[in-house]
Amino acid sequence: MARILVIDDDLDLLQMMKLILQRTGHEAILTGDGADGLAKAQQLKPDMAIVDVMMPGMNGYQVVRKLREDPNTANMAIMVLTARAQSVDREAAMAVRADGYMTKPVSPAELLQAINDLLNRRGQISLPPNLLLSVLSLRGGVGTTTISVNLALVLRQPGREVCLVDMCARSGHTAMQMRLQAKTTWVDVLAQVNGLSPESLERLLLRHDSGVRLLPSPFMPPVHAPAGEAVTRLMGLLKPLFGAVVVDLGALDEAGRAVVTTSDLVAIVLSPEVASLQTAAATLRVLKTLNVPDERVLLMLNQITPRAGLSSSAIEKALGRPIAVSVPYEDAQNQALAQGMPLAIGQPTSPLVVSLRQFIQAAPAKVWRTG
Amino acid sequence: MPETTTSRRRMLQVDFFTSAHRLSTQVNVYMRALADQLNDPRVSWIELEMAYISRIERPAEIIADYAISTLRKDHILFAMITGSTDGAVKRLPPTAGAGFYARLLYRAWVATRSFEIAGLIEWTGHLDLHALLVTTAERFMPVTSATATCTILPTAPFSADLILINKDAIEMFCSEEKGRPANQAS
Repeated sequence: MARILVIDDDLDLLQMMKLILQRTGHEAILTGDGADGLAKAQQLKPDMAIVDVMMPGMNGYQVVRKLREDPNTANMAIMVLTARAQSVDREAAMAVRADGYMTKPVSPAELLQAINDLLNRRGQISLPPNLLLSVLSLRGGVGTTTISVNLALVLRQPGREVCLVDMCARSGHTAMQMRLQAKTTWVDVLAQVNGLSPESLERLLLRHDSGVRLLPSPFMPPVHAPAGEAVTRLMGLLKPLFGAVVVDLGALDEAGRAVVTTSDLVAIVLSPEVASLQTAAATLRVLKTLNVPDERVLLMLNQITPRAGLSSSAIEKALGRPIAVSVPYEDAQNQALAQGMPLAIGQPTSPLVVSLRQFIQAAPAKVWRTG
Repeated sequence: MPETTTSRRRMLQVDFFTSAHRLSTQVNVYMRALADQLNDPRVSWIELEMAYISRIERPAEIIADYAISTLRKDHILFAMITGSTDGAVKRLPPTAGAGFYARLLYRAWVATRSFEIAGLIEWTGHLDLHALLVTTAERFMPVTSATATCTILPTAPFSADLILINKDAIEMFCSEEKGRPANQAS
């Protein structure tokens, strides 16, 4: 959710913007006057400003220039939205250092897409290269797969390729969540991993429309558990190939141990209920015995139902460590599952996705320190 | 918005170009299409709401804005409409072009003082330049899918879905047949 300032003298458009922005979870601050817009930007520190050009008194270019000159608002994302649709008008908007430019009339869908793109672009996350992140829960039903899928999509940015590996041994659902057919799974890959070159491995990975690559788990649970050595070799092949590898992990068997010991970051997912808390405590103990450094282990509290459960402070007290991120309950997740369109794509500003973005932004410092 | 409608008001966003200025403005087309207002020989001026004025040599820079203004029609070189053109010209009836002579598209290249305009014009049968430029009553000629290039700023052309060119301002007119309009192609 972002706080968005809209400066436009067209009152009808302001009302439309208010509806669109509020419906998608953003906070809308509206004004029909450039000078008042500058005052509101100073006072309310919005994440983004959408500025019309043709306004009486102070025109949009003057407003953008002032916003950029003021240190308090200089880094704000700014989009110019105008009926002046010529190339010279676009150049003028860019000359005053607007980040985006759109011409009226614009459909709500186009406008939202542009707003989300701009917010995402501005919020691009800087990460260490070749990050291996495992998302782990030894208790099922806490949303590990949903978090893994959306994390992979959030991590995917221009210039950063991302691979998602579903290491679940009991019929994982990443492929289903991404509406992909699991033609080649880790069973096939691990069977030939010693003879695989990076190029041939890449060819075996599924490709999602977003660009995220996927190594799914088999639909039918495999007869033999994967060997730790083969999994270590697989991770060793994947890591240099991708800017980030996200592993959905549901067990700490031989394969799971191989993954967590080679991970830069282990995110333990738990829900706010006693059984999940107990499992998380046990998981932390196992990770300690595996010599996974504490700094690399983060807790993710996933609110999987709308009902309140154990409080964050009680969980933190019981586990003796802070919760890195609380993922709020997301009603739209059921719809996202049914449509095969993860929230990070369908609703990139949903609280769930925003919280994952915050998690990623907060996480690298720990990886840097230890890596 | 290029076109906004409230009670008895339907505003069309228009850029007017004179030989020295660009005026970005809105015209109320609730009662009459823009072309009808421009072609009305009884009125020499057109009333505008919220005019944003730029000089031709720096067409993106707004040097002044006024809530009400009026523009002398014979000094307009052309009016430019981007996006929706509803309210700019009267729609042709569905039977237009269904007669003996087909309506054809012609490429047009027009030079006015300080501008070159390229685009498409529609005409029934073979293009009669005398009829187009002299004998038809309309002072402003519609050119679609148009590009207007300022001769002193040729690197920054203006593109529009529709340009209404003041025929009195035309210094040179060139044309060739392109084919039938898309909605009449057989």
